[in-house]
Amino acid sequence: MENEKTFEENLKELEAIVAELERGDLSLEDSISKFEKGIKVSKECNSKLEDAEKRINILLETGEEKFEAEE
Amino acid sequence: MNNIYSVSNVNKYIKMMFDKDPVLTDISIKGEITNFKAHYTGHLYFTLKDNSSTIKCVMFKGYAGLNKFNPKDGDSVIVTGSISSFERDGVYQVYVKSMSLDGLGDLYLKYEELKKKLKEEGLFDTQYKKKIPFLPNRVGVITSKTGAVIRDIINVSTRRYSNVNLLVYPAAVQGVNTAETVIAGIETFNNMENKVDVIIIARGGGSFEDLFGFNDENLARAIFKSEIPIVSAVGHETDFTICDFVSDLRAPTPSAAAELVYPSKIELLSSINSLSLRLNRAMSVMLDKKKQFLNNITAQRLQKTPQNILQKYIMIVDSSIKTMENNIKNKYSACEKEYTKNIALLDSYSPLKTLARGYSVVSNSNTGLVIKNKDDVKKGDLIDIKVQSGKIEAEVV
Repeated sequence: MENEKTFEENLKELEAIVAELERGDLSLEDSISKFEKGIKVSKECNSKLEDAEKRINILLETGEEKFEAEE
Repeated sequence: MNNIYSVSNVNKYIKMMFDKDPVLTDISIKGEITNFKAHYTGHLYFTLKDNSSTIKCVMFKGYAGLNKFNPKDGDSVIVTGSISSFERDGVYQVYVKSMSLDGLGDLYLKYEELKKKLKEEGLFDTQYKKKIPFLPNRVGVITSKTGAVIRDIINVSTRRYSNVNLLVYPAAVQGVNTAETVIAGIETFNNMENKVDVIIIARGGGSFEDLFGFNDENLARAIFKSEIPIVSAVGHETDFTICDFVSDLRAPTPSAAAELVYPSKIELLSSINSLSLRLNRAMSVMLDKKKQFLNNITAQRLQKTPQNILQKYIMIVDSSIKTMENNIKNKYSACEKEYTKNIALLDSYSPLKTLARGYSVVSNSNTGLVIKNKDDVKKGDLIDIKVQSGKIEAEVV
């Protein structure tokens, strides 16, 4: 089981952090640490989207091969 | 010359002929139902026709009750029974003992039966449906490797999410091998080491017979067993196959399946962006608030408070000093007055003043005692007479 959080979990966490900070009833230290966590999470979301590689393969008896769809 | 018979005799003879005939006493006939009437008694009356002729049929209540479907006009059926004549009216008809839907109808019946059976087993229940991942790492597609379907899926996916990662398992989507190849695809994907996150089973539109391969019972069970969630996109909007019912999600078309499986990357990026903006803004609002709060406290209350206290004490000390000063001044003037008074008195009592007025002080030269009475002296005493300007030495005579 991967410990790495899914994209969806990260996005949800970011939403939760923003909502908490907007409520504005945290102490200064808590606000700062939540803010830092928020930055970290949003970076992870972005990298998940940007770093993924485009790959379209077909599974043949010999293994995976690049797939070319007919025009 | 002919024998002359009565009508009844003729009809009786004809009936006998029918009832003796081996073919006609147990026969199966295919035709289309017309003039169908379900009598209130429960007996069914209808006509079977083909392209050029018709034959009357009756199915009595007892046999009709065994029908697995409700026959109606237009149904293509196969009836089994005997042909005999109804003596009274001189007509012959098929006395139907059993009836089944022919060909296509039969397929449909099979479909309905399997659907009912699997539904009762719970294979279609919502509680077993797995949630498809929000953003899949890799998508498996079971479909024909040629044709528009896979092309459409690739195009729509790439439009939504530029860096798609697809793995295609080529399968037969038509004909007798359909179920077998699709099942193989599902099992292969489930047994891989780096599994795909979701599977799409896709096939374009077609007739009921074309899609029938996806009504296979083994296929349904393989879909149910799959640990990877499955999206079924078989046929078009109005086509429903058993594959659709068992799968975790149904898409009306293969393109729609791609949209269900991939969120729009642009929308996602914009969501993340606006969340980041809100994060920054919320933080800076929060900091401003805290700063202001701090300013309020220091500017108004914190700084003034020691000064206030100091002021208070300074004032107290000042007024104490003033009071002390006043007291001292008062005491001083009181003393001064007293002093002046006493000086004046003293002055008035001063013997020097008396002397100035002409009086003198007489004292015994020897003892120095002041002589107040004439008895204090006798003849011959030496006395000193102090006058203002000096002393006169004298002798008493």
